[in-house]
Amino acid sequence: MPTSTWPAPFTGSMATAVAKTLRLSGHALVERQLAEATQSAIAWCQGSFDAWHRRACVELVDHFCEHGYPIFYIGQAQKWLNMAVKYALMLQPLSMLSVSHADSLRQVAHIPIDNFILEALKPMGVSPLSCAWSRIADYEQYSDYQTQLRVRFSGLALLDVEFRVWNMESSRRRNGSTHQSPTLDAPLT
Amino acid sequence: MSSNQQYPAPTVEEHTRFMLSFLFGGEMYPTLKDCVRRANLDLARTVHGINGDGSR
Repeated sequence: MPTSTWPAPFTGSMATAVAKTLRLSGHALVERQLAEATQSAIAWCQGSFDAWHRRACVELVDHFCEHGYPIFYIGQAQKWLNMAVKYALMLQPLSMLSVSHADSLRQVAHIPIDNFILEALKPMGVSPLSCAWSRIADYEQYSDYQTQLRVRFSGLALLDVEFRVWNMESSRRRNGSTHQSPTLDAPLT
Repeated sequence: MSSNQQYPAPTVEEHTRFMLSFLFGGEMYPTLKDCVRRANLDLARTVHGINGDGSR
């Protein structure tokens, strides 16, 4: 929970410079974390990935909090990290980026949570979050949601589910239709 | 090069690579840094807490 009571450390141009430095160091941190995920010496299992993910999210939130910006939530950290992992895994099969143990990573990676995917998952019997996704402050809340998805879509890689559900929701919005008996029964390709 | 120059049709994979490169500023071989930057753009586009006038 980002509850630091730090005052804003600087004002004016100094604050701008600090914010820029913080942004850059944040990017560098996520790049290092992504390297850990994509250049692993050993294959991933669900337990090792979940542990890595928790550590990475907390580290990212703490990074901003420790520098006087207690406004970065687990919800935001997961979106940044999960999208970065998803992009790496999107590029790997096309030989545009090298990813070690990509198959195992693809099996255990998390769904990036945002309003679009929450809306798409709602009619599939997935319980909604109790707050806005970007305001998830407790990693357990995030973790429980991913666990719920794994149970709901048992036997499927969550990134494959996300790809399918995302396209269904996108198509639904383009057509302006309402949710109609959504199902993932058709084989994922 | 003349406008009626004939090019071989790209393969499905070449086409997919080409389309994906647009997500990374035209980079055909994006790095991890490019993935992080692109993911941050997605976060920035959907994040809550900032009003249209820039106030929180």
